[in-house]
Amino acid sequence: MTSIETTDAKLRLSRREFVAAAGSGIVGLAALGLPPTATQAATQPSYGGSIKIGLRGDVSRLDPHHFFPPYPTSNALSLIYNGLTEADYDTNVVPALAHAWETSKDGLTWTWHIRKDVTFHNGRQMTGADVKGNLERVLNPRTGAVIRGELSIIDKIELLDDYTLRTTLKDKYYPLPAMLTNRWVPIIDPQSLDSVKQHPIATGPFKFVSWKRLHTTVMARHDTYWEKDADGNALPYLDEIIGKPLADDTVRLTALRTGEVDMIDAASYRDQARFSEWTDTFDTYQIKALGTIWYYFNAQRPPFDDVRVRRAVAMAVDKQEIMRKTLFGHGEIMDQFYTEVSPWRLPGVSSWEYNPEEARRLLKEAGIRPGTPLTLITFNRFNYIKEGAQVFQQHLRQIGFMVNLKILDWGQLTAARKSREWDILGLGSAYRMDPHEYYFKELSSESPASGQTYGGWVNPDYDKLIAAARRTEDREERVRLYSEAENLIHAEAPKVRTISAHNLSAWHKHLRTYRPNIAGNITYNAGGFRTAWRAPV
Amino acid sequence: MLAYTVRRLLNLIPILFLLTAFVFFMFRFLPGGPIEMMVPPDEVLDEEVRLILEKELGLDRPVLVQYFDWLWRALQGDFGESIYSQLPVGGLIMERFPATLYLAFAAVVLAIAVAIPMGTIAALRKNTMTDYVAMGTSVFGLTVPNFWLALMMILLFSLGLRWLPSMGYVDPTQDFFGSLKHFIMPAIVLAAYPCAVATRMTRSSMLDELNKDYVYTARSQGLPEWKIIFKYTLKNALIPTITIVGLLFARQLGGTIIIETIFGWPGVGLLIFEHINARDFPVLQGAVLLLIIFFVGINLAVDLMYRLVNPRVELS
Amino acid sequence: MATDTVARDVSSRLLNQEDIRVEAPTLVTRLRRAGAYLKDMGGELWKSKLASCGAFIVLVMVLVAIFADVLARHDPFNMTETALAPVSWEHWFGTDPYGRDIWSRVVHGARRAMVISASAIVLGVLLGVPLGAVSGYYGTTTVRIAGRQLRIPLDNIIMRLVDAWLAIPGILFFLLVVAIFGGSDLVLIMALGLAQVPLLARLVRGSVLSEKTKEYVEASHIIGDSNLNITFRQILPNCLSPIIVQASVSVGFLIIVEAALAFLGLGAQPPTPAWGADLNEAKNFMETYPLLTIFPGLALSLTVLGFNLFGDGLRDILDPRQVEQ
Repeated sequence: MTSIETTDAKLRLSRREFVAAAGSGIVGLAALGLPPTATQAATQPSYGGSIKIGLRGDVSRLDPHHFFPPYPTSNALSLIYNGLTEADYDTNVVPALAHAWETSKDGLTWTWHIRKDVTFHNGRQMTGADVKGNLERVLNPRTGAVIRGELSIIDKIELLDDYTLRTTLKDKYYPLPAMLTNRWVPIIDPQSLDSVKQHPIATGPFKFVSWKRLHTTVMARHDTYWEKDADGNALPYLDEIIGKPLADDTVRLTALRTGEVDMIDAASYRDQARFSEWTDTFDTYQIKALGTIWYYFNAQRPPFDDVRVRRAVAMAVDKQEIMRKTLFGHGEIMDQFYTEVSPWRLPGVSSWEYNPEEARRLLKEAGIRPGTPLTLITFNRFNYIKEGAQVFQQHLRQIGFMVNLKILDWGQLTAARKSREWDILGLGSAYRMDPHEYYFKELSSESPASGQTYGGWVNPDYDKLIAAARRTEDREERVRLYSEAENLIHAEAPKVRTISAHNLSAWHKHLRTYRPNIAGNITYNAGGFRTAWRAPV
Repeated sequence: MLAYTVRRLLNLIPILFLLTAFVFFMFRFLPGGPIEMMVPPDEVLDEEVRLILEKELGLDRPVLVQYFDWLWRALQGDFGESIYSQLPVGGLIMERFPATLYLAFAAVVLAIAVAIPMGTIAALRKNTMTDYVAMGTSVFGLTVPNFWLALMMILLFSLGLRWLPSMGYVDPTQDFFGSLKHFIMPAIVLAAYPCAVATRMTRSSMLDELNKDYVYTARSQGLPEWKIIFKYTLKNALIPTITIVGLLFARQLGGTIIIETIFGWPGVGLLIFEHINARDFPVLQGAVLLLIIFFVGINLAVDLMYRLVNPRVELS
Repeated sequence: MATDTVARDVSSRLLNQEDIRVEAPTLVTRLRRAGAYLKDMGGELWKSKLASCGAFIVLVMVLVAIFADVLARHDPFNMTETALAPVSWEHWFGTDPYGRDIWSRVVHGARRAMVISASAIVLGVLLGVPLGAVSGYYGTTTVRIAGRQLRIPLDNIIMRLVDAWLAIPGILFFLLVVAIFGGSDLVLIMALGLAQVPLLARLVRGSVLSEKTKEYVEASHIIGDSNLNITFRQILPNCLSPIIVQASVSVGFLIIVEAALAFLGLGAQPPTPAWGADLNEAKNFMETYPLLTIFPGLALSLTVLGFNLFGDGLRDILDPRQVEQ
């Protein structure tokens, strides 16, 4: 029997650690060439106060199981949900509503120990039956949960007693805890499903108050929230959080400067240099984050069904230029999915050197004539994605392709991806806590999404590696398997990764001990909003 | 008059019928259909879920049945549920409609307040510098695309002089003077075109009136010029101006989309823009239908009023 | 935009034009008449200051569009390391965030604006004029279907369709079309062109209605010309003036709509050099580099000004009652 158990003490950060955490963020900033911001005065946290946050995206819908999970990166609503597990600051999967779990030797039976001190926002106590209800709802095809495909590995869900749940799997599946975070299976009150579209009831540190589409999301303190701070005081400290979707980078920054909001996520990269002017009013934050921009080649049709053509393009991308022109230097050059801050950063992954001459030679060898037309589709939403595609288009022109760049909105992109009428797809992936989420879904030919919405590359060796990795418990061994898979990706080049944008955010100095997660800003673990407080101005 | 009104109303029935059909069937051309839009771009829907959803949304019925069902519900004010946010469409629209009305109305008032004096003075001072300046300004209003005018105003008044906020909205019922600051720029931008049209209209109809016999008679009888103008000519000359402003007011409701997008004005235009990306057709259908009905209604009202005020117009 | 009101105005004024021709003209006379008509118009145009000014701007813009490749000093797509350069001899209008030459992009944007709006208006005329002519000339028509006489109120049907079409306010129609069919150039041209059909149809219908009662039409009837022949070869050439005025005013409007859609991110996509799309990108740099927002907008406004002045001038010339001076 293996057991993962964490004492409450480990979950909670002491105030000293908060300060240290804030400090490390600042050190990171200085190391990146920005002037360090003034250190936060470490004073006693106080209760009360309201914080307005300006975010890139709005809540999509209130039923958290229905198609769109509440993306913690851009959506204030994730503050109202807990999962059985959650991701900590470094995106390790740690206990949440389940305070511990055990796996049987054959890896098929998982026993979950549910916390007994959890209440829903309506005051009702949460039990194992509620968790079971949630899992069943997610597995019901009527619900339309995105994670259903992955979780259908679950064969049986049984309640051993009021606070112990047993799930039996059809096959070994060690990424399971990562699939039960509040992103994929947020626990809601199964007795209030009638009102879930208008007023979700869950267990998180803040409770839902109101949502005015594309205008404001209001959340209030959950008075009987289960977590406590190091001194045993109730969390959270803040009374109210108001999320405001402000999609435009400039608008978001202006809102922060005028005091309309107290914090913004994803500050504009081109404005970052000017932040030094305001460091006496703001704390700024910049770290390497989880999330990578990539280009998939459509391996199902010429010319990218030929590996030489894919390699040629992989060598023709000047990643440095893309980073300079779209992130103004605030990012990382990527050769694999995870940045250095992730526990899943893989060692010994090879990379293609920028070499347009060799690329042209390869193309010639593959019989690609100059002027061959290509369709490059990408998304119009994020500046660094659509600007990057324009720079990439230039690189493709330099090796002789005639590129038809289509910058599409969400609806067009959905249709275009599935039509398969494209040669290169440019986008990014983020928030994949477990490598299985990423390596299987996008690249394994056993995943339906791979052939229908990504590149459709087929490699049986790769498929075997990914299947073996999910059936492997030992972390070191999994890292080894994924590294091997990553080297297959390098050799066959079904996709090319370009950059990872740094997580930039900024907030007024009266917001204390807040620290964004590397996976995004709103996640509240390890110094996020759960433990943030507002100092009187 | 009554017979005419009834005839116009009857005439509206086929028009509205055609429009609802247009609004409904247009969205059927969307690649993938509504269910595909419910799914994130990187997800694949399995057949089982698709069938369940089709049944739930009533998409498995014949398309004509769907249309009449939608029409019947729409007549009762039920526009369904947003595909994306799962909120009732009627509520989403009604939340936004006052802001659009407020802006469009403000723009029209502004347009009239500027156009009538400017047009009148231009007519009275025909072919002088004043006239040329007034007409030049109106050509400017007709020519400069409103979104560029908006950008230039933001550049000057928000970023340059820092007098006005570049975007945002304050509810006028809560803080009227605070809301003025936000709405000055969008209102001016929106007013530019109708103002230009109305200025020209006032000028030309004023000139028409001034050439009429009664003016000569009045002058020959020694009535003071200001009395002739204010008591007689202006009153007659205003009828076409008010008419065209009325028609433009309705048209503004469609034209606010760009202005609302630039200034972040939370009206129906911005609502449409925001939901176009997600192809959220229940919302789009509802909002577009509302704008169209409003447009048709105002056109009719203006037409009837015009005839009421000006009985010489034959009821053809 | 109130082009339809303007059009209604124009058509109603044109209803009362005198026409003393009685005999059905031959093709040669018709061509000669059209030639003389255009010559007259040219002469009048020259006399009107505003109209000739508009014509000049239009001409310049057309030339810029034709010779864009020569005038552009750089490849409008080429990205260089000199991003956001100020105005200089090398870069007349500076460079954009990717180091592309703005002058070259504005010049190529003119080509795009012209090609799209001209194609659209040609499409609109090709569809709208016959539709209006049929509607005006035939009114209600009887056809035999399966041995039964069927009265089809052609005029009524067409005009109700036109009314319905005109009830869709402003840019909304285009927004929806582009959202559904995508923003490719072909879709844009089709949508912009189709949207001109109702106006033109109504305009032509009005003119045809008034021409229909004239004596030369009756003469043709007596000679035994077919209805189709009379409509398209005899009546239509006499309705040219309002069509030309409407078309030139519409081009200005279409250029604005095309730019507005691109500005909303729904039409032309970067890196295509298009004024609206360039303005959309420029708006991100308004605070730090306002120059980007100025040149494409100026080019756009100037072009629209040209077409408006030209159209207005034409209207004044073609409708003598309107001329006051």
